[in-house]
Amino acid sequence: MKREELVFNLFLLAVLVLMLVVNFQYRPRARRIPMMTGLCTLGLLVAVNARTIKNRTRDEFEKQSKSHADDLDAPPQGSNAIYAKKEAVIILWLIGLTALMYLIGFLIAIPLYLFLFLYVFAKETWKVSLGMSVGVFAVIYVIFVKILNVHVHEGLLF
Amino acid sequence: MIEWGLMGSTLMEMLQWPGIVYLLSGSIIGMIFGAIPGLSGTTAIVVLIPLTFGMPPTTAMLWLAAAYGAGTYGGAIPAILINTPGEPPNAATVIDGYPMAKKGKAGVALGAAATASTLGGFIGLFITLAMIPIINRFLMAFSYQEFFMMAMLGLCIIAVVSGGTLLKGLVAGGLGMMLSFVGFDPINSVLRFTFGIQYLWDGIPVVPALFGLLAIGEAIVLLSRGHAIAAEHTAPPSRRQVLTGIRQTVAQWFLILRSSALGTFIGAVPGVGGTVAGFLAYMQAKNTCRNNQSFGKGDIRGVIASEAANDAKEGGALLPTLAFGIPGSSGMAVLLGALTLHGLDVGQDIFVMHLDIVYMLIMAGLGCHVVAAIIGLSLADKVAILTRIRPTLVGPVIFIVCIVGSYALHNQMGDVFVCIIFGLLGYEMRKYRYPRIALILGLLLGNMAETSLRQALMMGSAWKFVTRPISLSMLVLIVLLLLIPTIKYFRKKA
Repeated sequence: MKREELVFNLFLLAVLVLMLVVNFQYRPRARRIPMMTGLCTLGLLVAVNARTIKNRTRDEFEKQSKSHADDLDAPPQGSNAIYAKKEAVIILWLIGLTALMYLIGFLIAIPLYLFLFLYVFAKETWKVSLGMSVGVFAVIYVIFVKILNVHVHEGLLF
Repeated sequence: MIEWGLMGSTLMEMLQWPGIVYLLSGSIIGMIFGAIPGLSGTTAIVVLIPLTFGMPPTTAMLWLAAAYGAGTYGGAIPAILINTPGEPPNAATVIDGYPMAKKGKAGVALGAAATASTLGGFIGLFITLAMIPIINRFLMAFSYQEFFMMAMLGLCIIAVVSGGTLLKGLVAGGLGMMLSFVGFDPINSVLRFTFGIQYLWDGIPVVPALFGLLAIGEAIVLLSRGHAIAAEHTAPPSRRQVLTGIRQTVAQWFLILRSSALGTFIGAVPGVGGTVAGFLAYMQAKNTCRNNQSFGKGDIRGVIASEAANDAKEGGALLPTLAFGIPGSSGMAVLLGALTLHGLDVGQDIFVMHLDIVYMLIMAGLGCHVVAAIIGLSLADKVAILTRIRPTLVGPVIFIVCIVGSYALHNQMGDVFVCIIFGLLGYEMRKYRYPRIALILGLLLGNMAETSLRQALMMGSAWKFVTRPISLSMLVLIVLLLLIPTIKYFRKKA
C-alpha cells in the first residue's frame, strides 16, 4: 500500500512539475499566480511524500484506515491484493463503456453495455439484465432526448 | 418599506387557481431536475422559459421561481444516496449525508435535508425581505480583496474539514487551483496549460469533474467490494427514520438559524457561488457544535448546516439580482434573463413599478419549499431503498447517468472524457485519503481567486488586504484555521 501511495504521489508530482515547466512559456503576468500556487503545492506534496516514506509503516496505514472507516474519503476497506484485480476489470468495463459510446453512439451503447455488464460481469439472469437495460434506456431517452432535446452523440461509425 | 397589502394579494394570487397549479408543477419539475445529476434548478428554468412567453409576468415568475427553488432540495437526494450532488452547491451535504446512508440512516438524512432546506429557505427569504431597504451599503463593502480572501477561506476550510490530513487537503486544494488555471487567462486572455487541445480553451468543466471525482470513483468501490451502499446489519429505511430526521433537525433550530444567516450573507455576494455557502456553514457547525468528532462520519448536524445554508443563499442571491442586476448565482442569471424577456427592468424600476413581481418571487420561493418538503418527506423512505439495492445493479447505472449527465451540459464528448479521467483520479484519491472535495473547491474558486487578486493588485497596493476590515478579518480566520491544527499536531507529537 505504501509503495502504491508513493507511486500515486509521484504521479501528482510529475503532473505538477510538468505544469510548472510549461508555465515558464507564458507572459510574466499570466504565469505569476500559477507559479505561486504550483510552487506552494509542490512544497506540500514533497512534504507528503517525505512523510509517507519516513513515518508510515504498513501497520500504521492500516490503523489509520480503520479509524476513519466512516469518512467520505475513507480508503476502501479490505485487502488491496484481493480487490486489485476486480478493480482493474471494473475500470476496463468503464473505459469500454466510454469507447462504445464514442464509437456507436449513446442510444445503442447504453442498452448494449448494461445488458453485457449485468449478464457477463454481474452474473444476473438474462431477464433482469434485459429488463434493466430496457428500463434505464427508456428513462434516459425520455428525459434527455425527448424532454430536454439533448442531441446525443451518434457515434463515429454511424 | 414593506407593502403588506400588496404582499397579501400576491400570496392570494399564488394560492388561487391557476397560481397553485403553477406552484405545484414548478416545484415538482424543479425537484426532479435537481435530483438528476447533471441537471439542476437552473436547467429547469432554462427548459421552462420558452413555455412562459404567453403568460402574464407574475405567473411566469411564479412558475420559474418555484422550479428553481425546489431544485436545491432535489440536489440533496443523490448527494445523500449515491454520493453525487445533484448540483455543485449540494457538495457539502455529501460529507455527512453519504456516510449516514452507509450507516443505514438514509431516511434520517433525507428527512433532515428536507426540513433544513425548507426552514433555511424560509429564513433566507425573510432576511431578504427585511434587508431590501438597506441592501446597497452591505453589497458595496465587498471588493476584490474580499473576493480573494473569500476564495482562500473557502479552500482552507475545506482542507481542514474534509477528512484526510491537513497537508493532503492543502495539496488537493492546490492541485484543484492549478487545474482551474487551464484555459484562457481571465485578465490577459493568454492560453495556459491547454497542450494544444482546443476543448480546454474554456477550462476544465467543473460539473463533469465533480461527477467523476465523487460518483464514478464511488461506483468503482461499490462494484469491487460487492456490498450495497448501506451496511448489511443496518436497519431498513422507514417512515420512522424520516420522522427522526425531522425531529432532530427541529431540535437544532439555532444551528439552522446560524447556517441560514450565513447562507443568505454569502448568497448576497455576487460571484462567490453557492458551493462556498454550504462549506462555510458546515465549517461553522463543526467548530461551534459540541461533540464534533463525529462530523464527516455521518453526523446529522453536517447535513442540516449545509442544506439550510444552501437554500437560504437563494434568498440572499435574489437581492443583488433585483437591486443591481448583478446575479448572485448562475440560476439568478437565468432568472434575470427571464425578467428581461418579460420586459421587466431590474434596479429601482422593479422596486417602484413592479413590486408585485418582487413579492411574487419571494412568495414562490416560500411556496416551493413547502411543496418540496411535503413531497420529499412523504417519499424519503421509498427513495432511501436505493441504498440497499445490489451494487451490481446500481454501479453501472451510476456510470451511465454520470456520463449522459456530463454530456448533456454542452453536448460534447470532451465532457465525458473529463468525467471518466476525474473518476479514476477520484478513486485513487479516495484510496490514499486525499480529500476530493478540496480539489473540487480549488477548481471552483481558483479562477475567482486569481482574477480578484490580480485586479486588487492592479487597483492599488497589497496593503489593502490588511487595511480593509472584512478582508483583514478573513485573513485572520485563515491564519487561525491553518495554525490551530498544526499546533495541535506538534503538541500531540511532543
